[in-house]
This record gives sequence, C-alpha cells and structure tokens, in this order.
Amino acid sequence: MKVRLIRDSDDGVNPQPKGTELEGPKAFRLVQNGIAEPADDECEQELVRRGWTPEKQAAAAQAADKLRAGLVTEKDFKP
Amino acid sequence: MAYVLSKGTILEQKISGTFTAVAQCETISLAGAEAETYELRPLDASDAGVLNKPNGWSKGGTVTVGLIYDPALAGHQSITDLITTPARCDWRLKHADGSLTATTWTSGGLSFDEDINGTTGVKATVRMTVDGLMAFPT
Repeated sequence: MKVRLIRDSDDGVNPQPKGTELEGPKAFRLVQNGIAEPADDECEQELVRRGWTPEKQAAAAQAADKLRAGLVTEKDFKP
Repeated sequence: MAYVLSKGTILEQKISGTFTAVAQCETISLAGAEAETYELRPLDASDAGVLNKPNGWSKGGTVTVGLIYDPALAGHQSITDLITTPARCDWRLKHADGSLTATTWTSGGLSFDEDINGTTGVKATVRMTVDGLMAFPT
C-alpha cells in the first residue's frame, strides 16, 4: 500500500520532502501517525476498516506537529 | 561541553522507509552495549591483575522504553505490530541537544509488557534486543 508524506521527513540517510510516496504493508500507520496521507485505494480501505475519519486525520497531523516541535501539553492528554 | 536534558528526547520508529516519532515515552534506556573480552591468567605472570583482551565481538545490548500507554495510539500499535508480525525494525533516538544528535539501532526482536496498577495510569514497557551494533554519535 502507498502513502504520501504531508511533511518533510527522512530515512536516516536521505531527506524525504513533503509529497514523497512511500510503500509498505504497514504504511497506513504513517497516516495514523499524522505524517502522511493515503496514496492508493488499498491504504484508504485499510484506514476505513479501522474506523479512520478526516477528523482523526486532522487531529493526528496536529499531534504529529506538536510532538515534533516539543509542544505537547497537559491538555493533549485526554482523560 | 554541555549538559543535555532528557526532556525533549525523541524516539522514532522506521515505518515503510521513513522515521516517525513515538509519542508518550516516559523513559528510554540503552543498556548492555559491550565490547566483549576474554580473561587470561598466565601462570608465569608476575603481576596480580587478571588480563582481559578483546575477543573481536561486540554486543548491541538492549533498549528499554517506558510508555504512558495508549492502546488507541497508532505509534504504540506500531510497536505491538512487531509482536504479532515479527520483523527487524530500525529505530532512532534524537537527543535534545539542539542539533538532535542521534543514536540508531535495529531491533531484532522485542517484548511488550502492559502494566495496569490501581495507583497510576496504564503504562507499558518495551524491551528491544539490538541486532548487531548501535550506531552511536561520532
């Protein structure tokens, strides 16, 4: 399954700019982690099967930004 | 020369060819990396000290991560994925030193312990066995 990065990343050696397409059996986890978007039907179907919604996508992207910037606060922890 | 805070350290897991951060880590311990030695006790030695010489092998050790566990969090599910589907996995630890100096390793396998305790929130402990050697900052 394929995903497309929605923010710059890297593979440990080379930079991977926003828009880079990645492929793998667990690629949907990158969408759930808020750093990518689905890039094929297989990924979209896997996410739908797991109850993924656009709202969750937006929240995940926001959480990923906060985590990367070290801006996680107490308010981000829901009871 | 500088002192480096633990707060701000980021653990990343490589998924589908890119590194992505693991949220809600509380502790990270890299332990047991070792250049092995063997002992020599020559009968004709004049000194009392037992000799230790390198045997040519080094161990990568283990990495233990304490998580404030959220079973619904994808970053935590990605870790337990490695229990249900065993596979080697690349990891990176970025220190909070301004230049994000990194230590990297590959886990050969890992264990996962969930701890539910009446006096605290749910936590989990991940123990990774390092495959080969860690790549320390140089």
